[in-house]
Amino acid sequence: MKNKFGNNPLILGGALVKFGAYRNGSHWRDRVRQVAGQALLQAQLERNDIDALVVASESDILSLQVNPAAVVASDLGLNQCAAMRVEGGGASGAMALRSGVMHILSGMAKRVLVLGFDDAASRLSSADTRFLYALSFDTDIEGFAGVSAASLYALSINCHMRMYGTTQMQMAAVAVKNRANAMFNPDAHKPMRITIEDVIRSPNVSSPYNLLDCSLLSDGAAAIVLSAPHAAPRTELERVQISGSGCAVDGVHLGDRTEPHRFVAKTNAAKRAYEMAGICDAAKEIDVAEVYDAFSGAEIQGVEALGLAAEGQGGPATIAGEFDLAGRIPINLSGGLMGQGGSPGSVGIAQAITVSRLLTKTYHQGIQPTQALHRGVIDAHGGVATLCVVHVLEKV
Amino acid sequence: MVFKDMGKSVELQLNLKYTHPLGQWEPYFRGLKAGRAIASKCTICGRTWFAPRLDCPEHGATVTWVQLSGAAQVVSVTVTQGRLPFCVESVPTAFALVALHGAENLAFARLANVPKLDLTDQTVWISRDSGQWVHPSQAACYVLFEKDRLQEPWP
Repeated sequence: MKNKFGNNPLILGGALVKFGAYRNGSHWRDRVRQVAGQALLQAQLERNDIDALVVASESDILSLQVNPAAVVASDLGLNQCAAMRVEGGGASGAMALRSGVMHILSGMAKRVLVLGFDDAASRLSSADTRFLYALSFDTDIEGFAGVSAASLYALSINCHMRMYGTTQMQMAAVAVKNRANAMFNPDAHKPMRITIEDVIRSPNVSSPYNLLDCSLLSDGAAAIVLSAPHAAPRTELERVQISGSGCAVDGVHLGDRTEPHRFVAKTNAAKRAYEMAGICDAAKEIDVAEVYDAFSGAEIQGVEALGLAAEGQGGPATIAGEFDLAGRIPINLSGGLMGQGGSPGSVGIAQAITVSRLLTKTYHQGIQPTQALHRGVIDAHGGVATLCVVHVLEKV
Repeated sequence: MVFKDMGKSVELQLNLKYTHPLGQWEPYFRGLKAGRAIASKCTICGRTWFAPRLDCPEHGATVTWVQLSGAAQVVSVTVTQGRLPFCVESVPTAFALVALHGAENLAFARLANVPKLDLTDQTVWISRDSGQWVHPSQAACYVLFEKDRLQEPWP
């Protein structure tokens, strides 16, 4: 499907490091150089072929580096190309991808290196990192009052549970599924075989969420090379295009939303991406998805917002196995933020790499669906689905 | 900044002094310090918000400050394990979304105590926290009984 611009960006190559906690003295710049080199190699491009660099990083406090795009460009020898840094909380990587898409569609660049990183696991204590992340809500009004990601997501899913009867068991099924998927992903931070009972019995974090309902804080880096179709090297390999990109924002205060149980901005972002990609019924036309699973219940709210399940049916569909490897729409085969890991600058880019490999049947053995996949959706957000970014990827 | 050589890494101790302005929310924060709910009200349509909005989302008009009764209905509750910002002690804390009577929106609220029962749909009252707080937004909490309110005149 060609969008109204007629030049859907192609994904030429992509690479990510194993997400984890790097306490071995290695630096985020080491990981950035590694993924950039691998992505360019896979794209069959030289550094001089890149005319724009987009860098995603959520926090200068995690990197102790302001203006990281200039530093990365210098490290990579991309001194002559355009460069910018993009930030959107947990959607930082996805926002960088969207920026790369915009560069191509507008004609401002022919080939873009989109790169993201964040060391969320090992630079600060987890308590300090969580405090830092609490600043991604409204610092002035709620941040110093004690708000945290866990408490806001919990208040939202409590409303969902009350509205639709969503259960802790259904949410736990998300945590079990994603961590089990990660068992096949060598780049995953914490693959685990666990049971629903393990999740429900794990220590309380913010009711109803327990420890195993929560995603990971990870160090990570990912890079992807986008190209205008006319500027891509010839190849016999199957390629994937980005056929839709949508972004939308909701009230930063959960309490300002008329329906705090729903991810309305995600629905609006998806509508825009689907319209651009010519999708009328996502539940029927999407084959695979990577959904932003900051918390187990957030994946349920996410699949509903993306139109992959009806309102209130995300929980029952999950526990019925509809989003398993052999299910109707496999979701988070990488392991998502719970299994693969949560490095905000990297996640959205890693999602694109995962889905492009799934579509071309080049993903990890054991987790590649047997059925043919033509189209996938990737989804990320900052805040409690406050700033949402959705992309549609499909085989050329 | 203190350095500690760890071989392949260097540990840095960062201590920041930050001056946090209260901006145009100052009446709201002053209210919280006194255990009062000071909301913003649109001068055209009369719609009222707590937490406040500095412009009416409908009219883009200026707002005036009004005091609400402080009574609120609990919409959603969570009990969190953790510490308030800048506090050392990590204790279970109950947070809620509450609908202040007279307000259009819901407010993020800290309950004075961890409830033994589900407080959803119950009425609570804003109060001044008798403990120490670091930021004005920590100064208010919500209590289950109106008689437990700690009040001081709103200056």
